[in-house]
Amino acid sequence: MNKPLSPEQVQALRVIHAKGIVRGRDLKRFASIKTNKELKETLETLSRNQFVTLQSGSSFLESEDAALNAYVVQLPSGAAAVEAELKRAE
Amino acid sequence: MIEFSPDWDSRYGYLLVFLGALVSARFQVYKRLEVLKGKQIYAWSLYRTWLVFGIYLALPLLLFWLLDRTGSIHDTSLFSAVLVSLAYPAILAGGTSLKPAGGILAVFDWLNQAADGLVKRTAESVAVEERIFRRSILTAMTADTLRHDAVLDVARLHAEAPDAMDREMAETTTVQERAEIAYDYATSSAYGLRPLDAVTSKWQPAVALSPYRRTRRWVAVYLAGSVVLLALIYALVFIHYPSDYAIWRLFKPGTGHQDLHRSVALLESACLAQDPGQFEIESALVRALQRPGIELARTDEAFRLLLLRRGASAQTPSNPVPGLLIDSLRARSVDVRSRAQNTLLMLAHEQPPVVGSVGTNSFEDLKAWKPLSADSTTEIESRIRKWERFWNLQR
Repeated sequence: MNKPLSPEQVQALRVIHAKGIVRGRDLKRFASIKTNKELKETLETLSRNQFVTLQSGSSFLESEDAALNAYVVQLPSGAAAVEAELKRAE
Repeated sequence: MIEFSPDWDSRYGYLLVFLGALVSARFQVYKRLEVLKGKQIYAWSLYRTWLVFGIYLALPLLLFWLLDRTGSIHDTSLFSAVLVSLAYPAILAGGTSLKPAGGILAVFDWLNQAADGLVKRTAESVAVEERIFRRSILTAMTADTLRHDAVLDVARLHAEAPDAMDREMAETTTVQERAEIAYDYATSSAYGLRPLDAVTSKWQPAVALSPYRRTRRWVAVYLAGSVVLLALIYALVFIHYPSDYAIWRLFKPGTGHQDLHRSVALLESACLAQDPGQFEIESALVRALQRPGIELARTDEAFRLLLLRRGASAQTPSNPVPGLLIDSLRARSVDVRSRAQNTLLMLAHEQPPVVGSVGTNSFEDLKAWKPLSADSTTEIESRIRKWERFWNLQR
């Protein structure tokens, strides 16, 4: 079973849920994510939990700075799970 | 409720389904792209989205046709057309009393999966295209202060945290970085690219092809395609081949009384118009009579139509109806053969006696023949020869 999301990760998920496709740097601006390392970990966790999909072919996992340019979006099939997660975190 | 529906021409039914599907397909695709929020425009600028939209558009038409074929609805029912065009997802999900065949449900499952694929592809596409668009806007901003300020105004107006933007701006020194920050804030609101596009689309020369402009192209392609398709269908079904359509409706199994009446009325007026197409209509009727499994009510209507010009020109040698009726003796249905035989006898009795015609015995033989289901092909062909000889002598 996946670990529960941290408050920062929930906030990042909320930003994606509200804005649609976002860039890594948007998440860093609008969620309480301080460093690129934290951003990379957040993206990895959200993707692993199948809440979001990341632009395929992206090399964002290879470097922390590259995570700033990654594009992230929810999947229609995961919308219900995201809403449930956000409700649970309220 | 469907039973109480007004009954109208099925052509209008299909048109209504198509128009309803235009609204419904848009709603369906929007619903599936909802996760993109204000960035949906990126998806609409991709051909894949329009492909899925096209499938959603075709699906109600296919379902309407299929439900009519399976007898669940009539394609002449106004309420059925409205129901199928607007509520087809519920029908496909099994949420109504109308049950489509299993195969079409698989198409719907595929569409749901396709929506996920569409969003993934959109993310990939955005990654490439947004970078190109962003780069061209940034180039224009760094080269022109007015453009830079225009984007900054958009960012100030739409940014959720203008203070944060100002703080970031204060920390940077280069024009390029300031332009990047302004662009990012201008495009990160819930409205996505729309506010920025409203400003940059007026720039001359155009800096980049925005997804809005690409989408407008697709809308134009779809509108033009729809108009051409509708015009083509109208020209074929309403202008060039209305009689073929009416004959198809006349013999279509499971149609209602109103529809049968409409088809017969259309064919009657075509037959009575005495135009050159009359023979084609009569030939098509006889060909249709050869089909197996035709309801008797429709057979009778077809024979009535074949006899329409009997009053006007049955006596003339050029009347092709007897020859066509002889052909219909080859029909698989014994009921059709019996009706053809009786009609031929009636026409024969109306002819003035011809000296030296088929021998009395031979005609008596024809009169005595009652088509049976057990009739062999040779038996039928032999009667056909006799009828042909009889009518050849009448000419």
